[in-house]
Amino acid sequence: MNNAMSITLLPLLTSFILSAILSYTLIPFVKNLAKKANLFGFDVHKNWRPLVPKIGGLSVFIGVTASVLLTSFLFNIVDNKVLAFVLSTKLAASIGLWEDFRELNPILKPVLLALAGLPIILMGAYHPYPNLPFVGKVMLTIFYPILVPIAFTIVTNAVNGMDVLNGSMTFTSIVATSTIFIITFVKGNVLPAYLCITLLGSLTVFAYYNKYPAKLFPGNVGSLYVGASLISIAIIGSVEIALLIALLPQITNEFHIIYSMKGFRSAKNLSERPIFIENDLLSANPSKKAPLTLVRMLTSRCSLSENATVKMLVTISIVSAILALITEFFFLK
Amino acid sequence: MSTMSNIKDKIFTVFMLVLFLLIVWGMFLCVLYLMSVFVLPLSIPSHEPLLLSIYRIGVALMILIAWVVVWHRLAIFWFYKVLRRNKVYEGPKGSDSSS
Repeated sequence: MNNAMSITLLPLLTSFILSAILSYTLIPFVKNLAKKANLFGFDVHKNWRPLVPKIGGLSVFIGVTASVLLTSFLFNIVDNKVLAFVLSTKLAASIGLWEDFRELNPILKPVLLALAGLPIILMGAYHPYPNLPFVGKVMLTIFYPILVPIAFTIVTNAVNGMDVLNGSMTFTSIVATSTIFIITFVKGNVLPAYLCITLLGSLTVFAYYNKYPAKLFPGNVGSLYVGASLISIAIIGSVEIALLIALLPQITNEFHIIYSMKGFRSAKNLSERPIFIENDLLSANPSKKAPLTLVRMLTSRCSLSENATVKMLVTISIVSAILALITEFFFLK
Repeated sequence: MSTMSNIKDKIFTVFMLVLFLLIVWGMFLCVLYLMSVFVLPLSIPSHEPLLLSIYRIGVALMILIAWVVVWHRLAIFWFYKVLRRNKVYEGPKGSDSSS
């Protein structure tokens, strides 16, 4: 706890408040931009199918980036790791924005997302000594740079795949970000804790607009940005294993979709949808051809409202977060 | 009565998914340990015979493939045999959705 006490709370608090204020201020601008560019998405889980602006994640991206750049200069904590974080996440957000305008090839997308990890490697913002459960710190000077782009693709796609219901991506990401914040704060790892709290500030504000019934969707720009931020922070802070465990629901969801669909395919090409909607209630498609998703598993026993499904997803995320904390504090040497 | 049954179903589903998550977590830790046992010696400069290095990579790949297959099979089993209640769903009536 001594390490935690040694962290100056002022940069953390300033960054949290600044990113929250910036994101809040940017939301009307993002809504107008969506209107001008005609970037709306149908809220398909409601009977009246409202049209919702779908690039809300832009407010999170700009809010966090501006706050990180401002506060890191203000408190003199700017270094190559901060710049690598900004560059990698900017690349992921750009790929997301591109997909919001025009759907990307399902094979090209993971390749591009892997490239988003390059600034982290090229700027040396990583420690090639991951701390593995039961084994301890291991030297992976050759393997580690190869694993970074793979981890980028896995995490960004996993977070992106969780953006299926109102607030599902935002609230589950808040849980994962809080977990990484707790770990890095307790360990006295200032920089990742500071990046986490900045992301939390923006996500908290955005959650208000994205919660059921959503007034704003994060879009691919939001979900890919959040995923890239999480993996960048985990690499910079050497908490990769904890993040992967905290994101187990998201990774499980994405893995089973890819496995069921036998590779990277567009969701539009699905022969069978994973869930059905009747009177605003979601229920699992019993067909063996439908991809296995977490929402399908949750709605397998009884029909659920969208709001109840998101609450159950968040509960499962909290359990995963506890498992991540147990792994980090008890299983790592 | 219906509300009560719905609450019970919700609790059952969350409980069973948490159990599934616990198994996946345990499997992940085991695979991570096994992979580190087989692959890590490759990153340390040594005069190990080439065949032994190839054997290590082969075993690591087999562990990885086995894990992926077992993980998916387990999820399928959990969905159809543990979570779903037979004859509760009578087929689609409303519009479908992309999830």
